[in-house]
Amino acid sequence: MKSGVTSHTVLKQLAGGIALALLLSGCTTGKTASEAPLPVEQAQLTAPPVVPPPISRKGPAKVVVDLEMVEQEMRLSDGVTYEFWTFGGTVPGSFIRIREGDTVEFNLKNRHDSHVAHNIDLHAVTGTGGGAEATFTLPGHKTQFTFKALNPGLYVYHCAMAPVGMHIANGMYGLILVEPEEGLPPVDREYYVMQGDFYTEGDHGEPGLQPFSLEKAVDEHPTYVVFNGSEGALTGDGALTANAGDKVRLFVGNGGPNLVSSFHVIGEIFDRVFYEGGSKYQENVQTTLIPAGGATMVEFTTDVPGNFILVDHSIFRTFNKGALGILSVDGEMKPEIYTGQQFSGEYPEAEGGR
Amino acid sequence: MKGKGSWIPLLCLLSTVVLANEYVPLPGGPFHSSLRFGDNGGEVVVEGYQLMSRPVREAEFLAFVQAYPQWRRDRIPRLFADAGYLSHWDRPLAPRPGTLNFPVTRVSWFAADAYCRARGARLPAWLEWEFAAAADARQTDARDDADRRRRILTLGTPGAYRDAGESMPNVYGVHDLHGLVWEWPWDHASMMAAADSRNVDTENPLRYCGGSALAFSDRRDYAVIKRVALLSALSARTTLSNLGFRCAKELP
Repeated sequence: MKSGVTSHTVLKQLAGGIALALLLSGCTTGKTASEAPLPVEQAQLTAPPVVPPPISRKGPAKVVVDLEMVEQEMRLSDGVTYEFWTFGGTVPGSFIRIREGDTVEFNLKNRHDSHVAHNIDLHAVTGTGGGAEATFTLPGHKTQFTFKALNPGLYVYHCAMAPVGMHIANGMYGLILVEPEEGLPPVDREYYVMQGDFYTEGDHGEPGLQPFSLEKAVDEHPTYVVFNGSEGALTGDGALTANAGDKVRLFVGNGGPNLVSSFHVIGEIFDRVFYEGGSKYQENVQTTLIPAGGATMVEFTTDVPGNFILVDHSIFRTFNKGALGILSVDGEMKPEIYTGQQFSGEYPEAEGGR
Repeated sequence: MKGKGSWIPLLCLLSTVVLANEYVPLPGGPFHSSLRFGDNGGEVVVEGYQLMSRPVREAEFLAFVQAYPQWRRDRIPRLFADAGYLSHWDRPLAPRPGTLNFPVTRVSWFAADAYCRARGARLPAWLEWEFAAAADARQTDARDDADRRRRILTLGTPGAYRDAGESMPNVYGVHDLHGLVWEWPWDHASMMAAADSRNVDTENPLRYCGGSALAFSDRRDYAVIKRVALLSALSARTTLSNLGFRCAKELP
């Protein structure tokens, strides 16, 4: 009995000692970890509609982002060009993918042949101007700042240089995804889509290089409302693709500058909508609002094959201003879900009809 | 004698093929600036002055650098110009062929200031540039002309280079205030006012989204807003591929 008590005490002391040792070693480990330099990696940027691969790291890193601002004439519609101002040479700008807790060294260049100064305001940044005050960048110059990604989510970035509306109207926006620490659930396809409204002196479809119309922009009467920077960017060879049964995730942003998007995919129901690009999701959604300067993540499974049409359900924008994209899904028909047309013909008029 | 006299200027013309760059008088007077200065809401009085009819051209700047070799790109202290200074020239005393009549670019404020001083002149103040630039070929203040606004807003974009002075002069006889290149004003460093760094909102209003509304008295004059946004980002040693200058001086 006595020896038992003794051994129990010894055990308790031993356990306490082990706990203490663990505690101490825990402290030591923690301290070492915070002092150890973060692994450094170069961010892989992608042009729309491509999204960089998911982040496989289980811990934070120092991520270096190199982004160049380019002013260049590009296609806005068939036979129509526009002098776009861009992040990375595309509208929307390069997609940036980082992880919650990452420390991001942001290097911004303004190409030598730019004619005005630019900067960047990333909505993912906690700090003055979202980085804008740190990145006032003249043509031929580069600037740098560093931020820590405190909040996960899907965020818009844009140029905030005066006159800010003109910089955004010319295409200076894009998306930055801050993956949560646990990552996003795996899917089969991820795509990057961003809506924007454009204001040209000529009417919709008027050919040639179209100058920016300040009047139409101030009046909020766009000539074009498009996905990914031009009418038809996501149709024909540019259509998004998937196979029936794929789980698809769309990162959808709205650069504005003026319009709010009623984003809808014809023939699909969003299984999940991470509305406003945040952490909560709504299920079984038909149409979701994307504010100007906001974003959303939608997920759905492509149960059946067909062409599924991305639209702004403020529908005149789709049929008259260009807000139309296609997700082309290959695979076997599943008549138990959707038959396609089963009958088409006349039916007899009711007796006594007019 | 008469024949010889008329030959000399012709020979000069052939050897340099540089268009004349005269000073033209501007009367000044009450003026509504697109920038707000303190509490005056943009209402100012501009004193009369003279302004070069064209931006300073490559040939003119070459002559200056030949006369004042301390401003050669291979001799200038980095304090007075960044590494881009005249970097588009083939050699320190050799602009690219065929560009002698282009407006000179890639010059720092220090170099532009020195050029004008060497010519017994000075850089124009922002208000003097803005006063002259408000005019078109028919009226002294054409800024309410919607078509003109549209036109000048998209000027100055890449590819706009051509010989200086080719365009129509305005009513004062000044060419190319819009379109060819941006121009150094004498007072670029004080344009954004507010040296009080205690309030970040007023320190540098142009750097933020909503800030643009603070500094401009005419929020629709985007051509000016665009220009000022660029000028306010410059330091005196900055050089840009689309930034040149012209000189001003007092009325005789």
